[in-house]
Amino acid sequence: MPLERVKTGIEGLDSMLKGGIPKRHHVLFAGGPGTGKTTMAMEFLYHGAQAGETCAFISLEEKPDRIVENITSTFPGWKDLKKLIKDEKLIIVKAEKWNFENLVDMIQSLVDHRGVKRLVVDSSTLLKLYFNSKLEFRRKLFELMDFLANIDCTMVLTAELPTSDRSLMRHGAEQFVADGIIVLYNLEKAEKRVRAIEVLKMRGTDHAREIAPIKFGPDGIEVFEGEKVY
Amino acid sequence: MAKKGGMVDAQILTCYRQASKRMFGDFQAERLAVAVGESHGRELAMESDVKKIAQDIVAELNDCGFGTVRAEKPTTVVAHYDTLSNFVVKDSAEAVNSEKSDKPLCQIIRGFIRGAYTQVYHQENISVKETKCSAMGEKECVFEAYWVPM
Repeated sequence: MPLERVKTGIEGLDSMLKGGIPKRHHVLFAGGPGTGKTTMAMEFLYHGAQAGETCAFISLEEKPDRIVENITSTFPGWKDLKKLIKDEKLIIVKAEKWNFENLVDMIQSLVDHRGVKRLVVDSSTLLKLYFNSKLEFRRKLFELMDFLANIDCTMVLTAELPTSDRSLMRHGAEQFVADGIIVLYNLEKAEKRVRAIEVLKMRGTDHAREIAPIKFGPDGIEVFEGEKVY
Repeated sequence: MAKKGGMVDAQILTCYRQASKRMFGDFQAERLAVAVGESHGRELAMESDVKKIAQDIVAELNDCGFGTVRAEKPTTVVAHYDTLSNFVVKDSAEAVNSEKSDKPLCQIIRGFIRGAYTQVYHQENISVKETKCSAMGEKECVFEAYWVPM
């Protein structure tokens, strides 16, 4: 049977992924501060909602109003964003801080009763702080992923890396349990910063191995697959 | 609603919980229990409204045989959040025959209350915590429902 895929809607990225994220996969959008993880995760949902799927964004920190404000100013071309939210094709909620049980309740409820097919949890970096030890975090994350494997939903987890420097990146527990990792960079090039993207891992499918430059346009992220960053 | 399905049996609930834990592990077994409760709570709420949901929750849990249930105005507020209602369950069917536990056990009831509230308000930012459980040695089980600020 051919592998079912979920298109991110970000053209160059879908091409790097050979058609999209495999359905029901749990993918990490990782990157240093300000690289656009949350923005890209939101774009993944936006295109799903536009295509008629019910999508949900669970924020662990930022308020939904603020998220909408930021995304509207980043992508002024998304004229239908507020309508998608009003029509509940795109649901944005904030989970209770330090309450893992509430987060899982929300996920289960959104998927089982609201029919959510694309889900983003922002961010695993904050989720880590819900637990007393790295071991507990890893155990709970495994349990959560195991639970999510049984439900019909493709999930993106964002993860903040302490640096944008590729050689200094450390891999946390969430990077081992995820089916796929897409890394966003803010690289130095001739005294300038260049945004870039790399598909580091994607279970069950071939994918591009090169780092590609990206740009934030008014209508979304543009990925220039095949172009050189350096 | 309860009249259609009859009463729950505490012994069967305990056996069911133990079996699902053996088969799926603690976490999945808990999620299964929450899912069962939530579906039933949502069903109840479809025939209720925000004014009478608390009394409907009490009536349904009592009628189903989940214990002797009453709603109370919150006295111990979990957080500084706006509260919905507290529910106190004496002889909870999920805990009464259970092994001693170091964490709350009544996940069906917890899921039921959350499902009822999320359905009736059509909002997801509602949290329900079991703050006392008789399986942990408390006299009664206490569930606190409150709004998570957006």
